[in-house]
Amino acid sequence: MLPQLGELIGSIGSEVTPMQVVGRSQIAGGYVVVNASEQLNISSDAVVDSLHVGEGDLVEAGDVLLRRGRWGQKVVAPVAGRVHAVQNGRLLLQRPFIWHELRALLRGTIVNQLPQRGVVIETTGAFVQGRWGTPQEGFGRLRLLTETAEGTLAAEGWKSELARHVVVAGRVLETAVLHQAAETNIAGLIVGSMPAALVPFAQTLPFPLILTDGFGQPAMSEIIFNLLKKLENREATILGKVDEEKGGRPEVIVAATTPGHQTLRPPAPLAVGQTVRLLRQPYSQQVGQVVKLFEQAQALETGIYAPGAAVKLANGQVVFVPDANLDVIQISG
Amino acid sequence: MSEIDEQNGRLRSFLIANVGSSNTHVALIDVAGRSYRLIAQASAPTTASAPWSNVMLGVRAAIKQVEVITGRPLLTDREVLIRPAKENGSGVDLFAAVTSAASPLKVWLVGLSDEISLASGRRTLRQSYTQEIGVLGLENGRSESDHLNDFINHAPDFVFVVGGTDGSHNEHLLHQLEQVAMGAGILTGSKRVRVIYAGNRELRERVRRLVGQNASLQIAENIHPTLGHEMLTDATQVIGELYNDLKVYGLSGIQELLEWCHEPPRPTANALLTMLRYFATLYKGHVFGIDLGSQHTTLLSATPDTARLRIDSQLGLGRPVTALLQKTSLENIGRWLPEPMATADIENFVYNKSVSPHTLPQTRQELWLEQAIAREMLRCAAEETLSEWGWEHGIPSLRLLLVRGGIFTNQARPNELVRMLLDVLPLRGIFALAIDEHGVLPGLGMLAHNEPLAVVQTLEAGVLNDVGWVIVPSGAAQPGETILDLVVQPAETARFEAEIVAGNLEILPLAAGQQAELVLKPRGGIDVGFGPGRGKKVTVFGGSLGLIVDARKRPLSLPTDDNERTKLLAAWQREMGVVFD
Repeated sequence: MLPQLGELIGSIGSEVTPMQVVGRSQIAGGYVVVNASEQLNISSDAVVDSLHVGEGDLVEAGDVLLRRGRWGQKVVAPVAGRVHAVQNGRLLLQRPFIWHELRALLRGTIVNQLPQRGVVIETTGAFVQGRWGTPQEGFGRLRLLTETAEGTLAAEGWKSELARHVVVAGRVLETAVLHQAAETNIAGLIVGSMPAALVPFAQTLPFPLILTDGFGQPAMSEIIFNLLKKLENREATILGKVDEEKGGRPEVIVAATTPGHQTLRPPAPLAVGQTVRLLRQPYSQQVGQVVKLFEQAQALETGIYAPGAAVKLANGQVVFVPDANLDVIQISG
Repeated sequence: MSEIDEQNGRLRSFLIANVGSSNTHVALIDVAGRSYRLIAQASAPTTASAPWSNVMLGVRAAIKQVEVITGRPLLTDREVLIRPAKENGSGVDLFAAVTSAASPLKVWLVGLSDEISLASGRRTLRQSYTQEIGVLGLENGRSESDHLNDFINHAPDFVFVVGGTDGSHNEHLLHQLEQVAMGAGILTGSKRVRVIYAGNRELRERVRRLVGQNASLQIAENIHPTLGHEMLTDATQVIGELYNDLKVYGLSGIQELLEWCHEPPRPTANALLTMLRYFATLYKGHVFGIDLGSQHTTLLSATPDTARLRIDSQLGLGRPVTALLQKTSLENIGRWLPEPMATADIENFVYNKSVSPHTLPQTRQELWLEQAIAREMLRCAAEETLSEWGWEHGIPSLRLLLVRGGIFTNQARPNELVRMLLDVLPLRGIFALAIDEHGVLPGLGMLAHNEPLAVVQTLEAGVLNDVGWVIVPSGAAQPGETILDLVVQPAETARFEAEIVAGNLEILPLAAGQQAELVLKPRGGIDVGFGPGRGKKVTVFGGSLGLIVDARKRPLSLPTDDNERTKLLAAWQREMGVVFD
């Protein structure tokens, strides 16, 4: 979606590549208010009578905007721009526009256009929802930098060939590592976890960062790590911008090599046989399979009663988990 | 409208949905025997946001649970609500809803002085689900350009303009509005800015001329018509209507819910205030309410003559929980934990709660963490509210303390809930404590106007968890000194006496529902709500916990040493009848 109304490039049915521009809009570079009435202590009408410029005129910094009489007091433009409006004794200067280009970030087909706003691109691939992310977007080939889902990303070994890649690791624990990643000019970072104390620094990074499993030091869920490992070197797109009002989550899409036809559906109601991720202690980040659904609320160790399911963990243990603490994982193909 | 179904002469049945930001509660109210009762209630995660993006999924999931509990079909095979109730017992006659699920309205506040007009403006805004994202007053010290660019970047849902008493000649407000007009003019292409004007009446026409062209202007009564006189009702109502228009009706899937409703949904906080007013009138006393939600924290107060509420839309135990760290420290949260924990772990927990707001604690440690966070949230909300309401000496004597919210209703042991409240709230005197454990009070508030019989009978049938009466003595005393003598004469059991010692927290036995005559004899200058040293004989009722006496010195002071503090916390828990595993 474009941040402001603009023009779309391409048409429905067009094939697009990740770096292809599919739309662009002009973003105002900001406004500067020149309160001429206050500066010269004259009425709004007197401002209009003294104007040397009109709405729509382009001005350079230092140009005279208005002058009282031939040799009288004057007001000059503090910046270059366009005179947007003259209103209530003020001149509103609009700084030069900046072009914003909207890139596809995905390899796929334009299947719909929202006039002047954006496009809908259909693609095929793996889809991973993160728990938290910085509000940016990125695209690059996937590179794993840790051997295992528990692996910690180190500050050393950041080779220049990692530039423009989406890096995957079990977890990151230090600001210095993020600093190094930024220096290397990576396109994005996907990790299982990160201490919450790193949030302020993470929000200043020039690339998108996604946590798949949360804050602290948990490893990346095996199921996600193994999936990303299998897809190493494929093109990955990180969509970190989420609509907070609608409660969205940051997303990763990894392109498939062959087109598929399975449509991504909203999560189905909990059912026996589904693979689920457990979100709270003492089973946090474990993956299991639903073996029974309870119609009535059950008691937890905390004494709270909640509806939920019996889940078989990887070690064979069957535990009761409230519905609210389960994330359904859709596996297909 | 009355409870009687005019066609068949029988009493109507009701299904009420309370769509919160994290959970959706559904309650079935119908006649059982000779009066209305809460027949069943159930809850399910709210599904207004992604990945579901349809509020009806959560509503239906909760209704289906009610079907399971009651065996009464409420939905057709196509999952449409069966209305009216059928002869075979399926369906309900009326459906009503309250909601706090929508995001708050983003507001740009415009006014004059910080202390008067902007303060009143904020008090008005806090009676609705709003979030102040910018302010323009006399003392903001920013350039017009900076203000304008911020205004455009934030694109507020509405601009709330206040300032000036009626007939005053202060025209500074027009100067501020000229800036609003500029911003609204620039945004016109992408968004029609709404402006609610609740300032000096005499300026209305000029305001209309200034901003009417570029913005949708609504006029409300001046919130400060004369000096010292504040009148917030009309502006609050206009903002409430805007919240429904822009936010509630914008929820995904809400149209189907609206088709089921017999009248438009009301904001949860306002419906809850209706119930507080009911209790205040019934008991002829002060009722104080707390709703600690996932997205908002609401504090309410009602007497037979007054009613007010304060919503903090940036303070909640769900997604906005990280905002608490701007108001308090990790150490302050950690001091309430019965076992010391590293501040980094507390911080990680707070952030994880924010990204999974609807999840439930499954271990004791995580429950304690959630309780510790709730304590600090409650403390901060109470401090700000009391300051705003001018209650310098704490919460004025009250007859009933009413609490609701997942953190309270999820307490397996009410004694833990009571301690949470007593630890952080500036309470005093003697009062009853009740929990809206089924989450139905706002729903009843929604019905109260048109269906009073159903509401009164449902309440009488016992829809609240009456925890018990609480006595909080105040006044100077040495630790260990006896400060209060109690004589308790229960209606059905033997009379007993108790000496209350300063510093102690105690629960005296009084069975649920049992009436007792209680004689309070404070010693020295101790006040139990009737003035220093003054005693009284009062009628009280037992609750799920008994009769609670909190004689700890207030405000509580916790030792900084980990060992001493955890010992003290453990002692308080023991006194409240909770033993750590």
